[in-house]
Amino acid sequence: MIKNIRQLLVGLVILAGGYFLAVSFNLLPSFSKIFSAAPVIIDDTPILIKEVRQISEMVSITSFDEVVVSSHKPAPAGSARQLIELVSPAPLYSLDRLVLVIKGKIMVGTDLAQLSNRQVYIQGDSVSMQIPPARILDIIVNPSDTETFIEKGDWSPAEVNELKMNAREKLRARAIEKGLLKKADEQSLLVISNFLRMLGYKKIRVVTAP
Amino acid sequence: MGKIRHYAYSVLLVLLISCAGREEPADRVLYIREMGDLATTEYTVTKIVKANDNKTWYKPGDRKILISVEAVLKSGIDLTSVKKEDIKIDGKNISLRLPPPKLISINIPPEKIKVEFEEIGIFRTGFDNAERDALLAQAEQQIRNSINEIGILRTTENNTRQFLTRFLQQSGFEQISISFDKDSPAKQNLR
Repeated sequence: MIKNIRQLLVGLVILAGGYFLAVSFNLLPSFSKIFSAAPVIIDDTPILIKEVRQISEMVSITSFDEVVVSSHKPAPAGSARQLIELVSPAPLYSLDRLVLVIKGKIMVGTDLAQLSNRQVYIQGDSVSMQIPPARILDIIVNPSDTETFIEKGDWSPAEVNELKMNAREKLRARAIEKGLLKKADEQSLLVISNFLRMLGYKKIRVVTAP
Repeated sequence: MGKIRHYAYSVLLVLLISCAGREEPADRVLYIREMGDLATTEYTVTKIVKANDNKTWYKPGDRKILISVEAVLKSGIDLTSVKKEDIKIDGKNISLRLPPPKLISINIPPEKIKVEFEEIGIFRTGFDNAERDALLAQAEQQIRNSINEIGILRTTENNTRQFLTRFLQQSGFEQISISFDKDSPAKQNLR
């Protein structure tokens, strides 16, 4: 009896050792890999060009900001979490919750398309230019920069999009609050002045239109 | 009796800890970068994100999803990298050598993302937000990789040339020659 058990144990040890070696040499998948879900890879579908537009924007400031947005709603009637509410001391537990951490990119600058002949005055080696005030050109909240921190319950794509749009508004407010428009104005003036200097102008006056 | 109270307190403590939600992270500013990119081209592109989750052997049934996305790509040149030696002026003639066009941004607005179709097997759960975002992140990468195919950089050269020619004509130049450096645009730093 003892001999049989010993043989069984030795057999198991040899088997485990063999499996370990096979995994080390990538001959067999590891135990964790066997039970891990296969990644979902999207198909390589074509990209269609919908519109091509000529623009003239001076992007003078890019701010990388991070905001947290959250939403909650009652758990659906009859769901397990709603039943838990009856016994749980924490009432929030019964709510469906979604918390997103969004890294946004805010691009601020000057729209030079609004620059007309009347705003540029040149005489000899002197130039005077009045550029439009800086504005927020883009607030980018792409899926690759979104982290789902908490997701309890079912959240429809429309509900998630609404939350992401809230994040965009939060990013806009923070950009204005941090004075990025003023910084962008200064940077645009600097870049344009330097460029004009390189074009050979000696007396340069570049200002922002009021 | 004291022992029972001790156990009751312990159980209550464990319950409170386990029921406590995760603390929400706080907002923070990462950084601000001063730059001087002149964006001259905007492409709006569409793509259908197609995924089929049927590769995990122990999950019976499959899940399929189709999402349509619209992305706005902006490209231009870095005006701050133009040096004095890149500009040659001879009276009313000017010759300008510009840095290679680069992709400035890819923007996938949330309102332009639409789930068009979803089919979930009876033993499976639907795609949650984290999974949908992971699929969309792959689509974003595919769009980023396709900038040479869609020809946005070639269009940017033309648009930049047109914009600067107009500007230099306003400045009084008559003969204008604009060329672009041929450095690989793949080296550009786009977050």
